[in-house]
Amino acid sequence: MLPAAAWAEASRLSDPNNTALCSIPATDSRKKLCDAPYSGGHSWGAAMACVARFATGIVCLLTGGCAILPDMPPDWALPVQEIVLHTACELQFALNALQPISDPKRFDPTAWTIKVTLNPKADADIQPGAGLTRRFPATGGTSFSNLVIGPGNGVTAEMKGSHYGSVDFKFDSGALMKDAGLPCDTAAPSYHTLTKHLGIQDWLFRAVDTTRVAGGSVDNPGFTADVFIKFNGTGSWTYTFPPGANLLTLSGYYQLEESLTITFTAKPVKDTFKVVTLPRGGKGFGPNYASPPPSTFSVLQDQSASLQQIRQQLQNLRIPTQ
Amino acid sequence: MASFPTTLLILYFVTTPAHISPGEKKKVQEINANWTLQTTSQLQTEDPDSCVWLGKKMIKEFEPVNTSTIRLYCICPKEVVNDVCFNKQEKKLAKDRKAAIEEDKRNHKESFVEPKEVKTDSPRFLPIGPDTPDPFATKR
Repeated sequence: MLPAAAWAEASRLSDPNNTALCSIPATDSRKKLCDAPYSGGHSWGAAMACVARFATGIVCLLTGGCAILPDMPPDWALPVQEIVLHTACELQFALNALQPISDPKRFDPTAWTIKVTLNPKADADIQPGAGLTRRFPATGGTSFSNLVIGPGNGVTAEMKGSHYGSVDFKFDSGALMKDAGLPCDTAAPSYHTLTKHLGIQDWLFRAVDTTRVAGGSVDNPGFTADVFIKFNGTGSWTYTFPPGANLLTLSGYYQLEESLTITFTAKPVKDTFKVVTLPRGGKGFGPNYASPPPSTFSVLQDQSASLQQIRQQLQNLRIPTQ
Repeated sequence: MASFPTTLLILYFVTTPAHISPGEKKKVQEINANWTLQTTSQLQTEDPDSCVWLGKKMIKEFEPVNTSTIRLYCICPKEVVNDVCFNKQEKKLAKDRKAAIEEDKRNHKESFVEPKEVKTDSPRFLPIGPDTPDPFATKR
């Protein structure tokens, strides 16, 4: 936040003689903003000086010094280990359940590279606001002027920050299905929604069952689970006295979005054969059983997986509604 | 007089550079790498012993090279009778075979059928390796 000394300096610069009504003591802070003495002798010049001081304060506030950067959600709010373990277990269960009933030509549970992406997004927004109204002259008279700074709740500033994170966990479906060491039998102690039943098996089963009737094959299935939490708050303070009123408002929100994306990318079919590229030769030479030369399949597969993730994220974008 | 001198045939193979673990022997590397025949060459030698000796020297030269290797063969004309091109082991086998035939002839005079003669003077194609005995080792 803007330190009190900066406010005092801003006041001094806008009114070096300290003759204006909007004096802000260096030791005090914004609560005495434009706190004019109760007097009926205000002039337009004094009002303009008050406006200048007010504007100076707002400009100082908007220079970025008060911008905020929200923390990433702590482990109790985003238990990464439990979420990924639960997802792996559910994937293992789903793939093992689908293997006996699926036609390998249409859906082979062992032939996928699975990427689990956890993507937390934290946004925070604070909007302090201040305003004032002044009547000239403060008392008496049949005609008077009303000075209002800032419409509605006054002049506001917005300080917004975002913190995004992303991590990919890669699984080989065949290896995952055989992994007997996964501690899937233990109940997750977390109450987090993403550690609850995600319904991966239901979704895959429906896809596989559809191909059985409609033909075709399952290609690049995906799954996204999204949790959105938003905290909102607004407060205001109004001080009214004969010459007018001073207004202070503060509103803000903290929102946390955690998305879990699962993408399936087909593994390239690689023939596992050995070739002999060297004659045995004389005594003392060994045999030669070379593997096929490394291909670019793995690179293409990785790119394909990334594109699949991007595609899924684009598909999940929603147009904001009013 | 031989129709051609004993010839050392060298096949040169190459492979792409790859990570080699420290201390890994060439023999291990040869097992897993993909080799491509790059070229061949023939070298006429004075006699079979020189052929083997030169081949062993070449193998030793290529031992520290990771991206290429060689395979060597001595091609001996049929007239050459030598411990290398017609080695002692084969001589012993031929002698044993002859003794077995004679014994069989003595024991089964009536039913004995002379086996077809095995030619031992055909040209030889002798692979040379790092463990092939050095023909000059005992002579020196």
